[in-house]
Amino acid sequence: MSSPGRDLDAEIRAALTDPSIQQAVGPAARTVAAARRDAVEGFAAYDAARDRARAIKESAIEALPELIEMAEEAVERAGGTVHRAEDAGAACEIIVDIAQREDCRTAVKSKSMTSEEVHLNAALERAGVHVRETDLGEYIVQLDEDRPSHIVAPILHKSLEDVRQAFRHGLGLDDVPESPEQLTQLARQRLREEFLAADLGITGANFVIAESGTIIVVENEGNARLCTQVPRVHVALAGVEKLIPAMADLQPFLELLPRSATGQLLSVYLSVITGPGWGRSPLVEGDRAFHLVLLDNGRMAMRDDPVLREALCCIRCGACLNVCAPYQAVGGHVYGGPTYQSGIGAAWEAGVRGLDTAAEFAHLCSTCSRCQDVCPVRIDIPWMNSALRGRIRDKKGDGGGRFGALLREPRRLYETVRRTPGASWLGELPPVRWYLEKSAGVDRRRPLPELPSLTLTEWYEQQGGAVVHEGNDGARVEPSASMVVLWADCHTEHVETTAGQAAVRVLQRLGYDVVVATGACCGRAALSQGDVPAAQRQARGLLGLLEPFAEAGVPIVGLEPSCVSSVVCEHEHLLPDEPSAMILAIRVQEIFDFLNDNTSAVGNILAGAGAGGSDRNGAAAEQEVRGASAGARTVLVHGHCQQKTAGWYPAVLEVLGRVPGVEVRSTTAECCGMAGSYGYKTATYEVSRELGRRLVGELDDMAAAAGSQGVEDVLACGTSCRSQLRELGRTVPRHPIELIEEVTR
Amino acid sequence: MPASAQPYHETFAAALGVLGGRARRVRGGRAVADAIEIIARQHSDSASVLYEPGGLVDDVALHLALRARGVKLVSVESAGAQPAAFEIGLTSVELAIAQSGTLLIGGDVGGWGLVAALPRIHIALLRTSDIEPDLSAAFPRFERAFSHGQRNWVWVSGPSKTADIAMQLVTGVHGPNMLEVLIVDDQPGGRG
Ligand code: SF4
Ligand code: SF4
Repeated sequence: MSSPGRDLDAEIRAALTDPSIQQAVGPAARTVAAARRDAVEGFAAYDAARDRARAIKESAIEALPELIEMAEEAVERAGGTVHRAEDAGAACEIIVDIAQREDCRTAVKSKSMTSEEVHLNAALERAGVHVRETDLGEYIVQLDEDRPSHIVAPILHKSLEDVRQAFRHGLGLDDVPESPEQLTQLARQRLREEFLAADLGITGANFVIAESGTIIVVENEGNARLCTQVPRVHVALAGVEKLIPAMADLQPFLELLPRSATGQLLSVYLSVITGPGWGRSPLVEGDRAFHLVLLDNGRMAMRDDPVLREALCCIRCGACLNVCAPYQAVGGHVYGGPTYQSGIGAAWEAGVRGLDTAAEFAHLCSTCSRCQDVCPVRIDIPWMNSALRGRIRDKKGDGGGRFGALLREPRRLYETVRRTPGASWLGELPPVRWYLEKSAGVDRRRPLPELPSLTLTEWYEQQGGAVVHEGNDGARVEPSASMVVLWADCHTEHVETTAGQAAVRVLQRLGYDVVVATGACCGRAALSQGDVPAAQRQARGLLGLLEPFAEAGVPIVGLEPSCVSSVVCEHEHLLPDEPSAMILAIRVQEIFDFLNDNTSAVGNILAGAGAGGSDRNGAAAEQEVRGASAGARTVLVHGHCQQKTAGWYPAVLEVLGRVPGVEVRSTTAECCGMAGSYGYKTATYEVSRELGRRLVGELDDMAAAAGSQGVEDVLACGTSCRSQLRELGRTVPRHPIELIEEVTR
Repeated sequence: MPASAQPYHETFAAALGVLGGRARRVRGGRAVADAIEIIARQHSDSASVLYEPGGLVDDVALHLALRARGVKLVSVESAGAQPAAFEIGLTSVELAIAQSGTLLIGGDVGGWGLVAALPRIHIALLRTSDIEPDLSAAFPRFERAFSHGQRNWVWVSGPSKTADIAMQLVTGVHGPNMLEVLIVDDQPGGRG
């Protein structure tokens, strides 16, 4: 099913200038994200619970056909009925049929994304059954004829005034209360009458226990309790992926879902319902009825799909939405499909509606990986999005032309520019930018990187250093015990050579023989364009370059977090059959992670820092030393997304914190918005700029707060973070290794 | 239970307090009746309380004491009960979790779900010995009762809540906006 084409560019522009979205979404998402962080930090068994939950989900997905049968039998035993719905239409037909057979005219419904997915309300209304949404957020959505923009908090996008307007419009009132408190009481009053009059109660289920046929409904308001207990008929609609084998399996999910969703230890209410067992009711004459509708609608096909299968583990906590920078910037109506939002939403829309629906918004994912970090069941959302993008490209037959191919391998782009006389200024000529935009989607407003005259390896060779290039020299440099390989990723080799030189010097000062290895791209850029075969090819090339060192146990360090994390985190997906890829993943370290492991040696070279040290570089160094010894220097640091997800960022702060006379402050912004090619692409340029402006705003605030102490440095490990800040900010950011180099001269 | 164990009722009361509910320790049937009477007189014109039979609520002395105080107890199953008309619901509790301030109210077939869901005030009677420190201690007990046939439960952590409107926390949406837990001390000299 494909929806009428969306003009996403226009939607993005509208969202970025919509005051409600701008005031409501970002702050709300960040507040919930912070509550989640506090809740999981206070939970010692968090990682163990995540592992257990993931394992349970995986085995449940594996055993899904058996679990469905088991649940069917159990529900029948408990006096209820199970219906299997193959698709959205079937689910609606089944529920309409139940309503008609049971003679139900009015229904009350609690929040259920699955019911949104199948457009249940419209089907019931067509059949003459009036449906009332009873979750407060969903009620307001219904009053306003709007759509939810968040799987947990449906009206995250609405300001208080928007909500008042919805009450005015939906209830036909001239005068509505001012405060959330009074509005809530008004809703309670109105809805209570509808609960008591309703014939049918409709809910979703957060989990379905196959062994006993029990449904678990998690909520805070109490509306789901009333939906399940007051009316004489209860219909629960659940995707088949909600099945878990036994009640004993529920525990880790109870530990994870409320913490991840809202930062609560447990939600206010957890209803455990088996059959019509809430039983005889003084409100109902005779027996109550219970129906469980188990929905497929693409899920069994997702189960057979190596990429989308993982999405079935999702417990719909919404944590990934809250930390997602593009989501925060434009909200879930823009970064989302008809039912599901953000990166995980692209996978779900692809699964339940098809690739075309996902293709309309999937490219808003910058594959920054912040979501993966907070997912309680560790779903690799950026990987799914990269793979989906590959499918979308294949389907469109759109490779972005020759320039598109260059964008998928930064090294080749840089080499091309180097080989072309005058290319650096040529690249800025309007016709060239127009062509780049047309053929490769590179937004013409984004400046292209400037290339220094020497590459890092050319410089190092001039210094007499040992260099290995892809495909030739690897074997000629004999690994030794005092050796470290500095792997120069494409950016460090061609653009960020100053940072590369600083890294070489620091490693030398630590007493290492430094070998600089370069030539092979890690595959990150190709992956973020969805070109999986190219990424695989590149990963294999890099493996060939570094394998001899990895096998010999030589430490390999890199500067660019996204490239390092590509080796450590993505190569296992890309090269599942290469055992040496595993070894490489263990050997490769981000440079600050490596420095942090070499605590005492780093301590030694830093020890001289505050005391002055020898002045080799004249005035500049002198000035730095003065700054350091005055003890008046604040440095602002922005962590790179993948660096934070991989857990390497604390090492950066740790090492910088040990530089005498320096006070380190870290930003809280999730993402700079640049994220590799994301900031270059026309489709995402606006979002990228907006995220960049937010980060710059935060840095400005931090600098102002540091005030009298004076801020001399903005540091960021990511090449793209630095280029974003260089363009939008007021300072020229550096890689933190440059600071270490400078103070250890 | 070893006497050295944590006084879970204190942890429970503190956690529930943070959630906007209130837990008090009461000693003996008279104190329970007193506490219920005070709430009933404050919040119900007719001083009537809807209740679900079972557990601590079935204590005959409690019924007599409340009757003597003029508080009318109405069983949810009695003919003509109008559960939606009551301001106060009274239930007992199977199990509680101290860390999260959670009550596990359960059983099998019955109308008790309504007693704890419809009225604005929910009074729950809890035994000290039924408080477990955290979810990992409580869950196996819950699961055992579940596998022995108690198939329907509601877990309650504080009064009903929402933050849907402009992220402002509001207490008392569809469920009770007051949760009063009376902890009946059945272990003098025990954990407390
Ligand atoms: S990878 Fe980043 S941009 Fe993509 S969904 Fe996750 S948080 Fe959002
Ligand atoms: S993908 Fe993970 S974080 Fe996102 S909603 Fe699903 S379970 Fe939660």
